[in-house]
Amino acid sequence: MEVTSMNGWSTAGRTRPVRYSIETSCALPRYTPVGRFRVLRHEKTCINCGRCIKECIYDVHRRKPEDPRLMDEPLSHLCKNCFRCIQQCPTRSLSKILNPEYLRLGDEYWTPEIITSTWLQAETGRIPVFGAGYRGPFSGPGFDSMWTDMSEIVRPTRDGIHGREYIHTGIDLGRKPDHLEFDGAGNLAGLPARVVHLPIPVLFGAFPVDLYGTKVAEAVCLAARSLGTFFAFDPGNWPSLLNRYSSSGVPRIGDDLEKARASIQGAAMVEIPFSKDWGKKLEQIRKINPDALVSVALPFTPDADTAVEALAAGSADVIHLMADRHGRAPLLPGSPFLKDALQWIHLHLVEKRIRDEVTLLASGGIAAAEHVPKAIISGADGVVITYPLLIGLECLACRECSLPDTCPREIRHIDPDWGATRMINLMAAWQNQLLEVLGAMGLREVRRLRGETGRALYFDQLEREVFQEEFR
Amino acid sequence: MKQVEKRIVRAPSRFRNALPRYAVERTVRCIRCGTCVELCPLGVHEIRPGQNLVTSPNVERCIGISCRENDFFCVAHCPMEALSISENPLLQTLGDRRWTPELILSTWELAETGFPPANGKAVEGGDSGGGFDKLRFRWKREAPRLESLLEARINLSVRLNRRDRGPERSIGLPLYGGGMSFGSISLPTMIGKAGAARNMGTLTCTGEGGYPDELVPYAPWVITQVATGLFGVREETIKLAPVVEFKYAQGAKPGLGGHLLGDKVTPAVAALRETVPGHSLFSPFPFHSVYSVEDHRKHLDWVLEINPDALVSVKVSTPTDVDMVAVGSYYAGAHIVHLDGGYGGTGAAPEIAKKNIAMPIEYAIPKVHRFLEQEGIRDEVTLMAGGGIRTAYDAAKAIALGADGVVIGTAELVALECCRCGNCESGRGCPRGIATTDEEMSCLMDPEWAIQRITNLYHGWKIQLMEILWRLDLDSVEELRGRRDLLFHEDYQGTR
Ligand code: SF4
Ligand code: SF4
Ligand code: SF4
Ligand code: SF4
Repeated sequence: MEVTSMNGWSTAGRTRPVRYSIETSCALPRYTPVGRFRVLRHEKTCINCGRCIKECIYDVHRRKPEDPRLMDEPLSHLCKNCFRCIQQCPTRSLSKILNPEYLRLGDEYWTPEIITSTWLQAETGRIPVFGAGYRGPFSGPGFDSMWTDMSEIVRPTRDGIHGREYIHTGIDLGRKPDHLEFDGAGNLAGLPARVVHLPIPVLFGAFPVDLYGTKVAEAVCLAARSLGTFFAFDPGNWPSLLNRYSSSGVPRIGDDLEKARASIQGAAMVEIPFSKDWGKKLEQIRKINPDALVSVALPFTPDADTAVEALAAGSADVIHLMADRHGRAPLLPGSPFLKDALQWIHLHLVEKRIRDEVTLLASGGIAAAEHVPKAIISGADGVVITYPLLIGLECLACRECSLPDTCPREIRHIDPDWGATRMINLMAAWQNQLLEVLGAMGLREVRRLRGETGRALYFDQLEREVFQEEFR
Repeated sequence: MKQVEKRIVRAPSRFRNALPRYAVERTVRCIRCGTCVELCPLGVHEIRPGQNLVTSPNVERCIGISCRENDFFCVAHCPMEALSISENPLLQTLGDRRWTPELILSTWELAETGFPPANGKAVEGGDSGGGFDKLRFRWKREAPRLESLLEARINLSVRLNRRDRGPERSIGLPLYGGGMSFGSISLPTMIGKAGAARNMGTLTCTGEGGYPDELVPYAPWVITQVATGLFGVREETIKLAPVVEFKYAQGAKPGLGGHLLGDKVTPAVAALRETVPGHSLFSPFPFHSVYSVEDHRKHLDWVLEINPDALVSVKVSTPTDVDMVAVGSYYAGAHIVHLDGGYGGTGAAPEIAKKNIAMPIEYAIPKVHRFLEQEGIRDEVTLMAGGGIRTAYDAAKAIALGADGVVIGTAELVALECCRCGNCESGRGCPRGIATTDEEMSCLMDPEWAIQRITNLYHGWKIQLMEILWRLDLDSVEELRGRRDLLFHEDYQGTR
């Protein structure tokens, strides 16, 4: 982190700006991927003619190595759904169904599409590109009910994705006071606010070590350090082996400040849960480590607006708003989605004219690359993720992990370097997708996106304007 | 555009087996008595000597569970109760929410026969849960018989030039083929599109990959596209073109330039584009020479200098200020404003862009139409809408929302038996020989067959469009433009 400093410029005696870019390398899966299709061969009617071998350009069909007179089981996970074998088999012996195992992945929010696409991004570091246009529903709940804007002709775009123009994806954590104070002699009075720069607007949330084990935790540490971002952890059960990564770590401090003293001392940022006496705790943390940023985490409660206002007006540096796994705020009436809950808080702070004083982080339901810019448009400065990182490690999102060591993907036994590469690849793919979105909008930096609801299109608004009024 | 009428003849599938909607299972209890063979008039069952087939040989002819009503229902008459019929789970693997299996199969059928299905059960659209899939027409009368429809002389032609300069030009159908570059699609596919445009008196577009020599015979029906990469743009091809299209943006990847991944840049493609084989081609975004309407005007002047007879079309996608962009294009001198919505698209595009960037075409059309009306220039510009038009019904809905005509892309590929598997972007490209430049794959398709399939599709749509206008009691497609009162939305169904 010391080489690329706060503003992305090199400080190590060089004057040339260093562009932030993420190195990717292939990290092959440990398990046969779960494909969308299952190819079926009717053995009674197949005459082993081998036509399907010729038809399939993806090598799904092969002969049995031990008896080349016979056809082998199709390698269904390689099937890309072109129907050629099915339409050309002389005895109509082939068919194909949706793979039940695929359909069982995840749930209605963490869909099989999101999960398998995350696997691919974690493996290759590349953004998903396919032909033949869009295939999904017109719109959907949550983030799927908004589109981001683009520029054309009269507003310049940025050609960022292929590196022809530099687009900055970094954010600053910390308070940004709206004015500076000077003493009589014209010198800055008091210390300027401490700000920490992260090159991507994504932080890693805490992984319970008892569930996922030390190797996953180490992969998270390695990936965060390499990316230049932060990861959160619980000092209570943190293996001391991982203390060497503490400069990227954000300890989550519970009630016992004294026990966590060491981790507070070593941290650039500390997180505490919101409580009535947050001010007192904050003071104590400042006493232990005056340089650390303090983040206060809270769920969206009905009085979250006033709580956040008090935190911002007080001295919290960062406020971390937490939705649930599905991006919902269940404590609010109607369980609104993260994008709406965030906007409520953001606009409240804007109204009170203190929005710029604090950094807002959001977590919960950030499942895909496009959710990052959408959360930022809704008012966050950055997001905190955990689940996508886990899925990047080939997790099936089966939620068996509530019991340690029942994980069908043996997540606890990964190689930390492999895990870190997968996480770095995933973040590289996400960052590139963020660049696509920013470039299309003609923005030079992600900080300019915050709260820019004017650069988003909303389903309900468009429906009202275009259809509801017309078709009343 | 002059029309070279061509006969509508059957263009059967290139593949041996059709995709069956139903599964007919025969258990081992079958004693091969032949009852079902005799009963079924559709010829589903066949007993071949020496073969003990468990599935029926002609299962795609089966009309499914609804056959229950008939006296000849095989399942009810099998003495051994060995037969059963069910929905074929294979179909669940075909298509998606926008292009449902039924829509793909019915488009294949249209392209095979050239006529809408006889039972009157045309597939209107998909199952996307919004936009066109929620809009319905308020019919005024029942569908007529085909003969009376053909006698009714309903006018489907659309004027492309509504300005006071440049030649008069119109197309015989309210639609033309969208730009797909050589490189993204194969040469036979391009020829198929161009031949169909000629046969039906409409246009097609080169896309941004240059103008292959093989298209020259079709020149009066081919729009030349000038895109940000300027690949293969030459003075000669601008001179050949009845319409020159400036691609500022495209719906499937708004705000991003065209992508052609390295694998698809074969020597032939590279030669036409004047680039290096095997290297990915990313068109810049935007035109780095255009940052204002005035700059844009220079572009148009430049084209008209080279070819004063050309009409100029401006292709833009659908940002929040799409209405301003359209008006700006008009003032810069465009004859045609071509809006491209995000849900179409054929070539390689990042998933994030297809799904998330810019608004669907269903919103953009009425916005732009109204704004042009307010500016008092609606009748001086032709508004074409593309990016998500799948059927004749979508086309008619787009026109009722305010477009003059529509631009078709994916539907043409589906006519060529695209199954929407989405593999066109990389490797050897399309395994079905449509969107590919791989030599072996391109041979999977004969250009004459491609011409016939797309001609058939357009012909089928033509009949459907005439039927739609008839049912709305209109004589010409120009009368349909902006008639939002003839539509209703399933979710906000009102009394008006
Ligand atoms: S083409 Fe059909 S009959 Fe021939 S080997 Fe393949 S499945 Fe068997
Ligand atoms: S459907 Fe296509 S990709 Fe799948 S097995 Fe058959 S030929 Fe191969
Ligand atoms: S048990 Fe393993 S695969 Fe299942 S959700 Fe947990 S981590 Fe993922
Ligand atoms: S690759 Fe698939 S989606 Fe693309 S054109 Fe071919 S059949 Fe259609």
